[in-house]
Amino acid sequence: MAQVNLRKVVKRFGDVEVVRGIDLTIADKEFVALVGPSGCGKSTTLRMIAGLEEISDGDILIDGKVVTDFAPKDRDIAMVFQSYALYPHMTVRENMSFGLKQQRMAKAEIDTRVDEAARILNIEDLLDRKPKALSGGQRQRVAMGRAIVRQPKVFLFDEPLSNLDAQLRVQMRTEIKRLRQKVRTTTVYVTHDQVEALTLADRIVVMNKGRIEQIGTPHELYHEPQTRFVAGFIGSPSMNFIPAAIEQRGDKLALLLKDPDLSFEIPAERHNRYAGLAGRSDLLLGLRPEHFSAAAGEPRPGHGQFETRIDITEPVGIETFVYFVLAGTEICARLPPTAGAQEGKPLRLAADLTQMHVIDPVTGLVV
Amino acid sequence: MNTAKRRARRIRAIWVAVGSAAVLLYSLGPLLWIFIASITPELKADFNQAWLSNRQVTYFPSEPTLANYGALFETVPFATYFRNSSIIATGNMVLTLVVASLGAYGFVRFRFFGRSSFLVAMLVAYTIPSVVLLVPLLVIFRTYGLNNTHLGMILAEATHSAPFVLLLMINYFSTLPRDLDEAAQVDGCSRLKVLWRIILPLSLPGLVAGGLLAFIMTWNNFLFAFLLTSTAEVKTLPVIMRQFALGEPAVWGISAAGALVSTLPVALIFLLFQRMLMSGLAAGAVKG
Ligand SMILES: Nc1ncnc2c1ncn2[C@@H]1O[C@H](COP(=O)(O)OP(=O)(O)OP(=O)(O)O)[C@@H](O)[C@H]1O
Ligand SMILES: [Mg+2]
Repeated sequence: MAQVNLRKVVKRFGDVEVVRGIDLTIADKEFVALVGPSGCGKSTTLRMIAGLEEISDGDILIDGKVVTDFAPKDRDIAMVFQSYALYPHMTVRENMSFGLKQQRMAKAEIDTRVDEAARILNIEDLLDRKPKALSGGQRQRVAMGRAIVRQPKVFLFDEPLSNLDAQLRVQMRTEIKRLRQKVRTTTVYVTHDQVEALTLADRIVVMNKGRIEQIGTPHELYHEPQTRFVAGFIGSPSMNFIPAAIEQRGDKLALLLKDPDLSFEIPAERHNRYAGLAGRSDLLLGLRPEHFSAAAGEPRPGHGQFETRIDITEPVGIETFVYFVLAGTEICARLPPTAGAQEGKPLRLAADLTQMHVIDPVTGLVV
Repeated sequence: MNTAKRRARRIRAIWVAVGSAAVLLYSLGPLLWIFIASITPELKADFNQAWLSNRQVTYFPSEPTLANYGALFETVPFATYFRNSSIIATGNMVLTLVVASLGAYGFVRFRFFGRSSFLVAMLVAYTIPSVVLLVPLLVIFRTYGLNNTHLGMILAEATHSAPFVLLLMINYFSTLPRDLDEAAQVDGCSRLKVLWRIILPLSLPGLVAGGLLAFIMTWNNFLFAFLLTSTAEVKTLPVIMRQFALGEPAVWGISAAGALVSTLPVALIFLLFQRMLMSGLAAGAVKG
């Protein structure tokens, strides 16, 4: 039960600035995911909150108290490691009670807490085993149990699911969500899997090269990305970026693509937003694969239709990923299997321009 | 086909057995010889013969006796020497383990100025011949009143066992994942507590190996025991063994009995801890 604040937090390794001044406020009981590409500084940020990494500059507050110079043991946090880091010489029960014993808690109370956590995590039968005798998924649960029993101010997770196979990962993801309904503690969760972040987090922090690109709810990041990086990072398959121009045509705005020459009318509600871009021909149109559909009859309002030749189809059951080239760029579209896409055959598609984004490549920002 | 294979395997087994027997005989032969010598009665000195040949060579004495063992404890201060060896070797083992584990933890887990130079210095310290240390040690002993004390001898012995065991423990600790330290720190441990509750229990085989090596180094060390001491109060077994051999006539029976008795503790410890010793020297035995 605590708020976490990061104030202009900087981390340097030698001359290399790995985290470049991060400001972040995590509310009490909030679940925040840190996402970003490999090496962007997620783990380093988390480890600074834990106190495992010294802070080069700035301050970290937990529960309103500056903990910048506190040792990890004095911060009242619990952490789940990617490797689980279970103590190999202790049984599951000893692993889980280790932290409480350090606090000199009464044995009866320790046992109650461990049994309770074991029940929640469904590991009651494993309490007397050593970590060596556990499967990956079971170790993962024990690692979470070790954190839960502490009832700390903050939970820290560093890619806790990335060592599990795909099926188990999805299962444990749901498990964490379920756990969250029972144990509501402020949580910082590092992952490079954006699906994990989207499904678990109240808010997501997208990091890139040591900086925060954007902070927002999963819905905000998906529908209103602020930078090209976020637009491309959130969503799978990722957003398509197509070279485009915008032109004033009477009192309307038109979106122009080259090769083949296409011209779409920009939906009226976007006119104000894009008016300043009229005449620019170096823009990028951002459109997610799910915002293409098979054209049927007259274009619906806000949709632009075009004819293309399908290069590759990837049926994945409920839908089919379709690849084609538009304006010299390879585009991915998600179509229903009934859309009739066939490799090497032409197909008429519609682009939902009410969902479009325009990116100014000079600033890298979404307009 | 199958039977040919089985026969080949059996022949190989025979060769392995023969080889092992040869190695065993080679290493245990001298021990057997010493045992026989120790139960051979001491002859009255015969001054008509050259001093070395004042006994008959037999493969087994006609009248085996334990008299030599009795004489060992009655006529010479063997027990005192045995006690001194035990105190100094055990003391050195404890001191070495404390210094080596604290030092190794520092080297493995912290980056500090001069870290690698310190490591090199340790290696060099280990390669310095003990003789070179004699004079400085004597000076230090005199300055701090450590002459002819057990503590002084323990400190002197640690100068060569500590660097070696330190390197061994560095090797061992490096195999333990850093995540374990960090998990324990988050769980509320100070650095020292991490070492005590996590690192040391996981390094038990390494500690046993290092401790035994330190113990044996001291147990067998003749040089310091001989040159740094002047009273029987602190002299150790290797010194008395030399006195047996120098006597005129040399008391071979008692000498052999003494040799066996002083080998015994080390051999026993080896037998007790052999499993751990092997895995400890191989390092990296622990893995999550
Ligand atoms: N101890 C260190 N010394 C020097 N550089 C380091 C150290 N630890 C991390 N780095 C560097 O800091 C950068 C950020 O590392 P960090 O582990 O925070 O990345 P990450 O976002 O967690 O990536 P991943 O998704 O691969 O885990 C990397 O470029 C890394 O090489
Ligand atoms: Mg990481």
